[in-house]
Amino acid sequence: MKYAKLIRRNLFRNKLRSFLMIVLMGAIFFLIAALIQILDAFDNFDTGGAGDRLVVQSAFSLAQMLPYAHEQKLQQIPGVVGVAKSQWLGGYYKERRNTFAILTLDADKVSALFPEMNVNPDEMTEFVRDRRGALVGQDLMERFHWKLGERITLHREIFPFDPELTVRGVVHNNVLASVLYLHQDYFNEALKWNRVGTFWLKVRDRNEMPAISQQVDAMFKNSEDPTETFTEKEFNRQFVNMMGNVKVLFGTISLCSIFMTVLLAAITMSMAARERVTEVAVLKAIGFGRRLILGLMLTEFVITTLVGWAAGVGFAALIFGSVDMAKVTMGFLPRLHVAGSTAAICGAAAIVVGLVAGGLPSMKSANLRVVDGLRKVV
Amino acid sequence: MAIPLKYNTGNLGARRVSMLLTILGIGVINAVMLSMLALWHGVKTTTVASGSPTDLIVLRESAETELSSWVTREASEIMRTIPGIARDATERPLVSPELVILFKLPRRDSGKGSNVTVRGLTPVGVEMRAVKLVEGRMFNPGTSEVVVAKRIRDRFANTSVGDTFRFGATDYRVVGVFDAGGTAFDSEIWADESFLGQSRKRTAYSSVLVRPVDAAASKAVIDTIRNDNRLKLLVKTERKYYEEQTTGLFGIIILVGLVTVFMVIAAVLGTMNTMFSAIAGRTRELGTMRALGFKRRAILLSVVIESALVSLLGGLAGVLLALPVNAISTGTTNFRTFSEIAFNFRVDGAVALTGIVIAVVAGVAGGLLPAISAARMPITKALREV
Repeated sequence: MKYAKLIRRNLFRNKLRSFLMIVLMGAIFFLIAALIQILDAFDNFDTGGAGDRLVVQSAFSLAQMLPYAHEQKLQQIPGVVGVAKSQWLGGYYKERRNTFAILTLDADKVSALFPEMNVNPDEMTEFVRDRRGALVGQDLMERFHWKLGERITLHREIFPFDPELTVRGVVHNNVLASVLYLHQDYFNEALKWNRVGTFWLKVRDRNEMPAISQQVDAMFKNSEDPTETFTEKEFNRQFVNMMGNVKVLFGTISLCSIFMTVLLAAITMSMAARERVTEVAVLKAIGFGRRLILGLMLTEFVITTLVGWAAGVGFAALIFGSVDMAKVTMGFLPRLHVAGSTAAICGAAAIVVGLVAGGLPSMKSANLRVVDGLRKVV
Repeated sequence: MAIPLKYNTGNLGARRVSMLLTILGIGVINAVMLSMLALWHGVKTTTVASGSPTDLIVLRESAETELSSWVTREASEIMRTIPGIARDATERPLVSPELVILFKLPRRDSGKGSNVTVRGLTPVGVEMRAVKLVEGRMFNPGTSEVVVAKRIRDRFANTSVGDTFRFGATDYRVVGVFDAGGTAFDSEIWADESFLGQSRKRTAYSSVLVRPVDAAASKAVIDTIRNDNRLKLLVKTERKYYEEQTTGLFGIIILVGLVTVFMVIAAVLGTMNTMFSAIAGRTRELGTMRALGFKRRAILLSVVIESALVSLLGGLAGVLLALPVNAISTGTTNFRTFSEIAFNFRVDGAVALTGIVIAVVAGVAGGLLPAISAARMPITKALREV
């Protein structure tokens, strides 16, 4: 393209201004990319299982526990190949700020139901054998410098029970990196309630899942403890719903940020256009057409915003790639990355910002009368 | 000699369009930031400000929340006899045994279930927690009647006065709507303690609220409860209890922090760019002023002041833009208790002032670099500039 040089020279005309513009755009697109990825991470929270699990909880609320007696009935449902009880405990290690996810599980069912935990088979055997054993996510091991065989005491959060545990195995799963699992039996022994928060069912055929869900809920409908059965995905999603209208909030923040970028970019771009009124007049005088001028200026502005986009999204990819957000936020956020779709959305926004903000100044330049332009002293 | 302020205000007027755009841009930044602060402020009010600083809440030893606590009826009876406890007009001791249960109820908007805190109260408890009824009447003891917080009524289906909603095997009839002034109780449904206990098959209470006569008595009451070996209970002021609940809202803190930091960055860069452009447009003017004898320092100060002025206007515009946010009421879940808390975005004087101060500081920071470059310009070069 023969005008490339002209555009390039204009881009570098005021280096500082272009630089500031790019940094500003970069910061905003970093924020937007981060927001989109956080939302996405919550929405698609996935431990990497086979998607063959159903979760049964009380129809009243998650805080309501279900009787052990349900387990046997669940096992007898055709198509269900495994049932494990699990309870959210919550709690912390030594100090309150060391709060992380603590869950119980039927130890002997872990390898069959949750193969994605990737626990070394020897360690798993040790864990199953030790009633007070614990499986610990890799980040927790690192954070507290725990070693296999180490004895730890956790402080209670919900139940009157301070687990005294021995680390028996490490969970190698990025999503579960800040989770600790202990034996459901140990928990139940301490409380003697014979009740548990959730039952996890592994099904033989994923196509049977809707039918099995219905069957489970119908089975307990008229009992003292009616149930509500979800696929694992739906179960996880209810926590996102609990957070409230995060989507609207994040969306509003992103839109406001883009609007604000448009305003600030418009100022910069009109400055850039005003500065070269004489120059544009000369170009027109030597035969550059209206459209060509418009196109050249818009291209220049869109390139600026796109460089800002590349800087912001690239920086986000770099940060999320090198810093483990799960560790920084202590397991609250999962490990983040920048998805292609996120980059594309931000890129589209960058182009829109360039066109909208640069539109008016470019149009003004394009429609400039040569005499006016030449007469003007800037 | 300093350059008169009038020069700055005149400049704002001279480049009207770009200044308006800047002010609006900074206004939007500030509005987003203010909304974040308002969000946090609203959440804090619903939690921290909920608890009375004088009333004492009694929980099971080591229980962190009312939901995971239980207090036996006997223990509650013992507490009624502790000396130093205030009494109401009819000489009833101000001891309120309470039962707290989560009900999963469908939301109005999505129909999806969310956990609402239902608090069973005795008549004394209702008396102790003076809330304003905005519609209908208080529930009658011993019946299935309930009163619903206004914010819960707005967010959950079948919770208007006259409605009936079902939970478990029981139908509850809504007879009133109350407003608890933005506290945590605005996220609750209140029912009769004995009816709720029977229908949910609970024999123990969750917590007991106790009002001591005065501060001195408060200490004595705390000691008595702590040292009574029969009780094995934990006692703290209600305010402290609610303060501790905020740890379940880690997500909001992260969000507020993240967005605020980026908005400040944007504000600094935005003003910097505008100010650079502003001085670039009047290089000759600045050179003339230097030639007339104004010191470098005066030029520097003048540019910084102008930048602060722009930011101040932007900050004020932000407050105006953020005001409608004030009315928004929304909800989230406290992940320590898994219960829904409803809150308002609160833009009050303190929040607005914080926002304006941050905007002006960002403006000064953003104006500094352009100011330095303006002040450093050699006179000859500036005057030669077209």
